[in-house]
Amino acid sequence: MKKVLVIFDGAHFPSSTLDFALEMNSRERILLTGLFLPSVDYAEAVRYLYYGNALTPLYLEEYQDDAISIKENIARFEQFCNQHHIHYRIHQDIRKGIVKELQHQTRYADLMVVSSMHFYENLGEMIQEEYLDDTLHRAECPIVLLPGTYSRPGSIVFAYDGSASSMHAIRQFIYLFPQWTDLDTVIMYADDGSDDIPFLPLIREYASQHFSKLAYYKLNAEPKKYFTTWIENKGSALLVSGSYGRSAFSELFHRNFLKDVVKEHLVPIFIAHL
Amino acid sequence: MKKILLALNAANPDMEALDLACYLGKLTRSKVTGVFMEKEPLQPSVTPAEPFLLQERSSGAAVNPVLDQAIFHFKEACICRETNYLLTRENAITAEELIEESRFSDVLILPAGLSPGTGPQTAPSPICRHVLSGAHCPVVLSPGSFERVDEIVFTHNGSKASVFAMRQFTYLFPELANTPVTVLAVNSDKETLADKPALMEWLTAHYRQVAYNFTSGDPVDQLINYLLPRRYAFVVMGAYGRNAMLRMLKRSTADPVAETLFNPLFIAHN
Repeated sequence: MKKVLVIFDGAHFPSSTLDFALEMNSRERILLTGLFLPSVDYAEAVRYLYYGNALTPLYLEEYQDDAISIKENIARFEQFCNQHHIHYRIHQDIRKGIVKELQHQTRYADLMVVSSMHFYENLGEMIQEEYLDDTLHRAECPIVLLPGTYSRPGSIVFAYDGSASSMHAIRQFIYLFPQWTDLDTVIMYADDGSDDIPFLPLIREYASQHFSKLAYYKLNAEPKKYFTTWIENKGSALLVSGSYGRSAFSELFHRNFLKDVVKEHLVPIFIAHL
Repeated sequence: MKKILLALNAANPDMEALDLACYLGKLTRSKVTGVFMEKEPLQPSVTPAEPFLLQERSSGAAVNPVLDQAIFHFKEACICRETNYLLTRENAITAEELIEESRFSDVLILPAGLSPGTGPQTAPSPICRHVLSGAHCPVVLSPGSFERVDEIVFTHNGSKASVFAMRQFTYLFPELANTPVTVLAVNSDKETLADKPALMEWLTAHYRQVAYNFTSGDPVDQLINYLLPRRYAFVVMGAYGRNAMLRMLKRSTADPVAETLFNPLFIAHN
């Protein structure tokens, strides 16, 4: 039974993450842990004043509102789990050090599901991005980042560059989602030079043991420019990546290729970094 | 199905490592991929980086009686143990190639005394240490003798690494979910570990029988004492690291040549 974390911040109730959990549970029973966080990190808040967001006067009010909305969310969450016969746990009473707390929670979980659109949406785009970045970098278990809504993926795209980190992500994906290994699978390598796919015989040997409908694809000609268009055209794909932002993989595209995918809410992304 | 990579010395294959690999192969219904190391290949490797199936062996490839013999024994041994096997390289492998191949494997079975020579080797051998620190997948160090797994021992000190190793072990061998699990948490300074509830929540979701054992004192001493009467325990190390592994090898005897592990050691680092 895998332990899946879902996050509720403040009044947000991102139902897409629960849809995802429901889909996982239909294949193999999961333990769904709801993490109910305050709408703002009260200890960290002062730091964000530098950004010019006039948050301070709102704190007191928010703090009181929080307790009510968290209570409501917990009730909805419980109802959802009972209705669908999902094992669940509730973790609350977290007031400060949200990102640190998230890191601790992810250490003891198999997967965290986050809605990139709703995660700390109330704090404004800049802070949301920083929170999300920080959370993704510190998380110790793989994460699924969902765009606004969730529907079952029709294909899987592995962002592969031959590195240990991209292989780690492929392995973790196979362990966590064996039910999706029979979907159309693309192992995608992006390079603007003329290099071949690195370690092709080895990745071929490994991948062919796990996936039944497998293709290799090399994205030439300015991957930086065309990646988002390409992935958009893949339709209901799920992208698997071994890093978020700071690694060799992003050098092939540009520093923040994944961020663009996240920002534009294109496709769900599975991220597992070493 | 997992890719289980087994590294053997062509001149002197470690049958205990093969026993362990076949046990895990049967358990997970996987093939065991055998690769061989050699002291001095009779001829330089023809195509070192290009693996291909043995039956496609080109007529121009080097004839190597030692390797051929080792491959023959490996096949026979796998058949006797009713395990599927896979051979992807027709030449001996170097430590660097082994590390490279580990990136594309789920787990590597490594004899602690692995060396390309013919004589006995102090464990852990320099090659074993080198591969262990460079491997890109979890490594299982094979013990001096192996029969079965009756118990899983997770070492825990609250660190990221100790939990990472537990997760990888659990994903690789979900078939062991009904095997009794003992968490060995050792902390020399504090009374108890604050992470116990979180760890137990995760562990009980995966395993049916979990015991939590907290002791204080020197972590490695405690671990060695705990393992003394437990020959069939599979030890998962993330905590206490390298130092523990070395001392576990040392405990058997003062004779460095006869150093041997009593339990299989699963080591995953990130």
